[in-house]
Amino acid sequence: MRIMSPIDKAEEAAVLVQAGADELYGGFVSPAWSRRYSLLGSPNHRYFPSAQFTTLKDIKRAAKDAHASGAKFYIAFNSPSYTPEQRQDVITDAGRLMDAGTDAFIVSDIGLLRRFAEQLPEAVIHLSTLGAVYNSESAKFFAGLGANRIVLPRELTVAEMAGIVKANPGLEFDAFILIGKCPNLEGFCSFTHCDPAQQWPCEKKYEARALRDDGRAGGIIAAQAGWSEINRRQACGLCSVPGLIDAGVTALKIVGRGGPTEMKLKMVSALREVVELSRRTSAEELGCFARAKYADMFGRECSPFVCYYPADNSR
Amino acid sequence: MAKTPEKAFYAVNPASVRKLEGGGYSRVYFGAEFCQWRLPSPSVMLKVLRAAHEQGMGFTLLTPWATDSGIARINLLLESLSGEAVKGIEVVVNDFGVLEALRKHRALTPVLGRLLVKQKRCPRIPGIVKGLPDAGRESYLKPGVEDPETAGFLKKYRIKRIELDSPLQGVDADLKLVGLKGSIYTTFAFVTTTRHCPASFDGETWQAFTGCRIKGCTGNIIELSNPEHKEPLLMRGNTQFTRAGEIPANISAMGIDRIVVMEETP
Repeated sequence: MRIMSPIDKAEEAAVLVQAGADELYGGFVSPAWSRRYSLLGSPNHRYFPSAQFTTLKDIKRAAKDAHASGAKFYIAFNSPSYTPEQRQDVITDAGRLMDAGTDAFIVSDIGLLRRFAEQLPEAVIHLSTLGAVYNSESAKFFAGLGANRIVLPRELTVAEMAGIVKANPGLEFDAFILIGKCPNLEGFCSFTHCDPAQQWPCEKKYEARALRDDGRAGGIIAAQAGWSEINRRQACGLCSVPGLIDAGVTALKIVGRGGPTEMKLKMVSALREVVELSRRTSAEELGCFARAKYADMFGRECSPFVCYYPADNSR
Repeated sequence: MAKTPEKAFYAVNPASVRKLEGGGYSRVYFGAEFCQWRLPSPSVMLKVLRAAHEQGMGFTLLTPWATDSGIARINLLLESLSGEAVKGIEVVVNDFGVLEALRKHRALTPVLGRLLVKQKRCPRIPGIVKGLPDAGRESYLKPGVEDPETAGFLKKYRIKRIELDSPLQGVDADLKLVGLKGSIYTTFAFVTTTRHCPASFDGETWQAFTGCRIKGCTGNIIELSNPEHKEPLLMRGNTQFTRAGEIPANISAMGIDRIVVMEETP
């Protein structure tokens, strides 16, 4: 099982790989792109500077450090959509990024996938979770568009993931495991994620009022409010590591582009420990260990709202 | 002179289709866009289809994103529709797996649904786009399909129509440029949807993950307000909407020839 970590700075590559990461992924926005479209028109679904590489020099260094230890280095171009001019600018940048050592691109937009196939056919393509592959046929559809790997959406159960993997033996798959759970279906969500305070509309506290109530509105309001009462950056799926290994998932993906280096290192180390432990212990024992690890990492008990696989791990 | 766009009725429940005569509608939309557990049975779907046809209207089946088990349910609906000796049946596709499934049903016309048209619809966007350079602002207004690669690919799958919201920041499109037609929805614009459906939460997990048996989950509509958002969100079932912006006056020039009337949130 491979471990994939976010990376935002060249100097993070060597330490993340040393901590146990096999694959690194980040964002890239060139100064020319920022001038033309602004960072609010980001090509990679992150709208803040801390989640971006901005120079090819830094990309070269990060890729070189990753490759020195046998790890891979990826760049995300996973905006939900682009204008035709933006698609062409991405392709131009992607060519340069490949020359700088980028091993694969994480993409979701159909038009961009088509341009990659036509203009950079040698590029390795991972379909972003924004591609919203919820079933086996959808995975085949994107394989036909050139995807080599699929990032499975957060909202699938482990059993559903296993079914998709089994039906598509020629593809690789990633599953999310730590940090950054989404309350909503990310591939379809059109909330903006550009608040300078980095508090997204899905986690804000709302004043709720029932316009129609059949007697259950109070429970629905309470369930919705749950998202403002937790920290979705403390999301975890460690209990499901054995199931995801059995499902045939290629890599476990840690969320958190733009986060501090210390947090990334902590997550990679914890995940490496759990993956290693899963080889020599029962799923039940691993679950106990994972829950203790969670409390140690985040200083609180886990809950359904921060669980990546709530249908698999409800007690 | 621009042709008047046709009007379609978005039926939230089957009963609403019985009395549409005189409303100027040429088509009925029915099904489920956002939740596979809310798909109608084949018999209910066919009743609505026949009620629409008796009133001289076409029929469009709305389908949601789906897991493998959901695809199996949708396949049953597609097979039932294919068996009908009626022309012009459309299927709104919100999952590329469903689009793959439709390749076996050549009598049915696929339409690209709102979940797969990546418009930006967040109610905060009107305040954001003001400060953007023109090229950046364009990406917040366009539906993202207006290039030969995307349009050509859609045509390969027989898609000639896409479904659009009218978000608060406005919409700009040039669908004629790429040979597509558009429909635009009134009254409410889709914002986001979830599998963590608040109507299906039991304190431990969400039924929507494994086979939801909640009846009448849309019997509640919740308004969600926050001082940072000028417009409240309206949550019904597993989906949130906002008020739609005004339908632009020049929709014909954009290639939009159908208005889908949503009298209430689905």
